[in-house]
Amino acid sequence: MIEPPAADFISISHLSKHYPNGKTVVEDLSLTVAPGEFVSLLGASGCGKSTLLKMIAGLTAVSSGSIHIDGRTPAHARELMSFVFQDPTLLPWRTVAGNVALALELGGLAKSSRPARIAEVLDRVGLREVADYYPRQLSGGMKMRVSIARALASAPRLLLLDEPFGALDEMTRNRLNEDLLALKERQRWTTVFVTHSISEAVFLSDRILLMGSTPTGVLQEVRVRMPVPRTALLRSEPAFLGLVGEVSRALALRATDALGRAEAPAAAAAGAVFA
Amino acid sequence: MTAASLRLPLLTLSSSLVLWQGVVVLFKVPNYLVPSPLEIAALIPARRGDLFSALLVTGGEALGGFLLSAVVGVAVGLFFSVSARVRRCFYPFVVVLQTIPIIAISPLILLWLGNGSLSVLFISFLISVPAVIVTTTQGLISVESNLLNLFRMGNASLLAVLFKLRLPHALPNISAGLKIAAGASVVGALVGETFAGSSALGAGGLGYSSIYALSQLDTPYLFALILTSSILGLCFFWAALLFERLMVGKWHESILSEFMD
Repeated sequence: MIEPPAADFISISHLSKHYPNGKTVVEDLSLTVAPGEFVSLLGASGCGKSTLLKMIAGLTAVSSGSIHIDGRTPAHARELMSFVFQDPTLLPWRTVAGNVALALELGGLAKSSRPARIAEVLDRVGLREVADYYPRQLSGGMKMRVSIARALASAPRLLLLDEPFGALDEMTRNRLNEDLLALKERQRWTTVFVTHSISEAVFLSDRILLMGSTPTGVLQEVRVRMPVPRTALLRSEPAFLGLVGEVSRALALRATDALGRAEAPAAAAAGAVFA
Repeated sequence: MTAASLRLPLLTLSSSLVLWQGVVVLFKVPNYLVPSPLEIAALIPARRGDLFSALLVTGGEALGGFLLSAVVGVAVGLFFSVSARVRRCFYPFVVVLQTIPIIAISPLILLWLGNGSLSVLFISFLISVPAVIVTTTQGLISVESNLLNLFRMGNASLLAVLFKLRLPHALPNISAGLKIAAGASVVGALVGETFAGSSALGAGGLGYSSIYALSQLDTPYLFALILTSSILGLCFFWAALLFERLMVGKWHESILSEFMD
């Protein structure tokens, strides 16, 4: 495991988000992400993790505090980022290649260099054979692959993923997780990944941030010290299963804490760091 | 459509024609009330010149009204898609246009545009344009929010969002609106002719000729005119259908599901 260098790629300080109806979803949250790091935001639905991701993308306005990506505000750092949404969000009137081309068109890549770039990206995600298919002809997993290919086409330095595999069956999800890690090994972009699947978070991440009931202030942190490259076999190893158990326990304790306003046992805070 | 799928509708059509002929002959129905199918069929080739020139007049008016409603309807839809405030300000006008009986404002149209094809074209336009406005607006504003977010992440310009996202997304809706407008424009032209049609020689369309045939109790010719009018309506509908196939045939569910039967 490479220890992240000192300079932060994403730095969030004292971030809060209040909605006009008075609801607070994020409260005084500070967080840094190192370059090349894979960070997962893990929590139940409605805990504000998607809102946090959309604030990093500059799609949702912050109420107070600041977000900087490579020293820039989110709105000025869009060309560094790609966002993968919960649904594939493909244009149904465009073929697979056409959907990938969209990212290049918006990114302003010269028309002549697009076909080579599209072919390269489709190759990387294993979609070359279906380049001329329309989205309706693809399975859910394939559509998600197209969505990822589109995100990678603009060669982002920051990849933001909002529960991208949540609607897929477990086997397809596992396969896509493995492929995502393999892709990342070749191009070390920084990743913020929102999920409600504990095993997915453990499998993918360098670091997991647990988010409890809203408003979320200080996040509990779990470092995942597992060998890279990670393969499908990792999922059956005791160390992996042990860590999944630890994280489940920490999440459960946070939920109890929020419900009963009781003091969380010290073990929950300390014991989550797996070495 | 295959030969097998045509067999049943053709069978019912021909038997009802035989039944019609039988009833007219058997009960000696006078031809100014209900002419027999054979009489109408014999009349059509004899008066094909009159029918064809009437068809051209009405077809031209309906086509003009339809094209105008397509252009204006899509343009107004684009304007309405700008913001909810714009829609609140101007949507009531569309509702008024849609609900006001055209007969009620026909004297005004006659006053402003005079008797003849221009008035008829305008009436055809007024009847067919609301469908295009409503469907276009609906299609343009119903884009999924994450697709808009995707374009925002790409720093897309307003024009890029319009031409790469909103308009293609609205094409199925626009096609549906055009299908309605195609039928309505023919109805509008026929109705328009009944009170604004020209009586000049060779300038009377199908609607005007119908009124004239009625006044002469020339019922067989009236039936021939009705048949010609429905052929005109069918042609317009098919043209709109063809447009839909070309525009969204490759990707939209509404078309694709037809192939799955």
